[in-house]
Amino acid sequence: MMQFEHRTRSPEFWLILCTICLLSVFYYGIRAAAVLGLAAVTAVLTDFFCLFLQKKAYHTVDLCNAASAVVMALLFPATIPYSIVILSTVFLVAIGIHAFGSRGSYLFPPAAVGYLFALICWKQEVLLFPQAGQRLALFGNQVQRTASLSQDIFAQGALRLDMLDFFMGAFPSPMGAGCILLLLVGLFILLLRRKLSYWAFFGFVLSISLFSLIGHFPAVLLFSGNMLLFALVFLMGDMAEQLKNSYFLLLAGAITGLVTWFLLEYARLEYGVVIAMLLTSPLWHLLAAAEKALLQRKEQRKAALAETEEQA
Amino acid sequence: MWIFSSFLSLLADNLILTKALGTSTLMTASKNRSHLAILSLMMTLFAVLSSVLTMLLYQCIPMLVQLMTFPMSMFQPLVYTAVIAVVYLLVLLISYWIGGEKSASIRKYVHLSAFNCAVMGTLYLYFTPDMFLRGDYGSAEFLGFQLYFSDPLGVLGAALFGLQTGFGFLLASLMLLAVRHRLYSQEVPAAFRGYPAVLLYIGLISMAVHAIAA
Amino acid sequence: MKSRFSVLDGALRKNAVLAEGMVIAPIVVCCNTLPKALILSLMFACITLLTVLISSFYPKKLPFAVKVVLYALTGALVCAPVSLLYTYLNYASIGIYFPLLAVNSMIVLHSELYFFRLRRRVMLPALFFHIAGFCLTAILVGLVREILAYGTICGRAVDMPLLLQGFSAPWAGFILLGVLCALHRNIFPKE
Repeated sequence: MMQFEHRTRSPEFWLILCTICLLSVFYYGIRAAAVLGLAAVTAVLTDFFCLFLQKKAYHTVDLCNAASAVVMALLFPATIPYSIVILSTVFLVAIGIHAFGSRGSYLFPPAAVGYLFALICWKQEVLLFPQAGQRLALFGNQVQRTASLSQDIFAQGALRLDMLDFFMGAFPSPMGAGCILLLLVGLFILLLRRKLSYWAFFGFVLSISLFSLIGHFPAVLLFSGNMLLFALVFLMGDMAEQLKNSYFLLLAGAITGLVTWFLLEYARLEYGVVIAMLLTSPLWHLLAAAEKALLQRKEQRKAALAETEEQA
Repeated sequence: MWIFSSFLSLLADNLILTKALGTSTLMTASKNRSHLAILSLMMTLFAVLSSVLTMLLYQCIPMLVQLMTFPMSMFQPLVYTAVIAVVYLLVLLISYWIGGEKSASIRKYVHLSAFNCAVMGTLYLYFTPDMFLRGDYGSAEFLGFQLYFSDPLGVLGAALFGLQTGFGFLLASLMLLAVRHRLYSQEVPAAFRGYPAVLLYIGLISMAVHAIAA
Repeated sequence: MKSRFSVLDGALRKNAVLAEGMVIAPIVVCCNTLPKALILSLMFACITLLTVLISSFYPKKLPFAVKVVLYALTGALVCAPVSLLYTYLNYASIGIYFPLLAVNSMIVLHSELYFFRLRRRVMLPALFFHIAGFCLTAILVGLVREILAYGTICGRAVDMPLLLQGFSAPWAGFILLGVLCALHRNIFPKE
């Protein structure tokens, strides 16, 4: 019998993910459901295929990879062609996850890998968004697409939007990155339930906030768009789960925040946080290795101390 | 903020991530920390010395500028290879003189660092026809200390470019060293374990760097 | 007992790029179209074949460092007439990767560590098949990348439903090469 697992994804994560998916469907209609569903199904099928190639049993379906694919799809506009969703998901699962054998413990945030692949290959399709509230059909949508709110912020240096619309995500944006209120609630839940490291979060937010004091855009504006909240909720956890030491988490979060801030401030890249997550992944792994080495040394000292006490 | 723009330019202009030069040496460098430190140092040394020597050559022998255009450009590889060969033999002689037989462990790094694409590529990337058309390399006077002062930027610029190559190599090596044990671990499927996983890893980092410029 | 066909290994089992990890840079950066891959293969074949052949006559008793310098200088010297062919053909441009072929690791290191330890009548076919292996890889990578990135083969359009525009960039070369290496390892597992 088929077994389903969600090994490294907490129930809170699934709750927030499902809620944001529902909101996307509410705003964009059946098309959003099709895109998200297609990403999930493609991820499961690619998972099966990769396990088949590795001659591993495939009676257990790991929904982690499907979750990563859905997270990636939430960064796309609702009008993204289905073929791009399929190809990006295959790349995400096959190259981003299975090639490194890292089901459950990732070398890079998988959703970031898939998203950047789609961005580089099909920039126009990925960075132009329909207005929220337009119910899109499954096929043949001829809707006007515009740049996201983040580009408006970069161009005008201010948020010219009704506050209710802003918090409810009623503006052109990636499907899942628009609803600020929901993302804030999700973030709050994850922090309260300790599913997201306080220290990584604090380091990330603090470094962006501090550096924004010397930049053109205040921190509030930066966090209003640019996928930052989305990245904190759905991408940061993939990297933070390998570290336990508070100082290392703070440092890694801070450096990721710094690189993100730099890309937002100087390169004006609304997807800067995704690039920063990928580029700073080696740092997270380096700190994880350092943490492991420190722990081993500590245990060796304890063992040596215990031995001397015994002899004494 | 210059330090951050320097960091990003080290990535964006990285010879390994954007031009794949020195990838084989990178894999050796990332094996452990001592390999990393010594190879990075050697690569930087070779890049700097070769660039400086080539710049001096162009300043002392104005005729060499013709190497930039066909048909003389077909001798450009010979000149650059000769420059690297001189640096290579010089470094080996110095290592023998300082360390004697004990420096055998250092010499293997010298052999790896000398004739590789990264060092050679540094020369081709820095000394472009545009540079000579603009006249940045300065006027040519035959030998002399005055050359350094009449156009200090010529030699300094070449040295800095060589340094940038070395730092870029170091950064890429560090990024690979951080995850090397993971790429060679049993978790990775046998078909991808090691070299293929390293290529994929460098490819994904390169993808992120490309996204900055895209 | 080694098979008499072990000289063929250079093309497939011990492919210079996929198995040994040599000469990666030109394939990753240059081979984003089939014409470039073809010209790269031709230039690589000419330079490497001539250089290794000439270098095989150098005295073996020379110090390693001197031999390496001689091989590199020979490669650079051979590059001169080959560049006339490159300019004459004017088929596709491979930029700085053409002169860099003069110091590729097959000439500088692999020749000393492998080719020159074989007898000449074994070395020649082994060299030929090693070069053939590189050319096969280059052409395969160039073909795949041109189809995926531009939807053409040698400039002639093919019916591609979707183009991956970013596939002409070096990152795609790394990833494609990594996948090919894994495929190679699956077909020819390490003994």
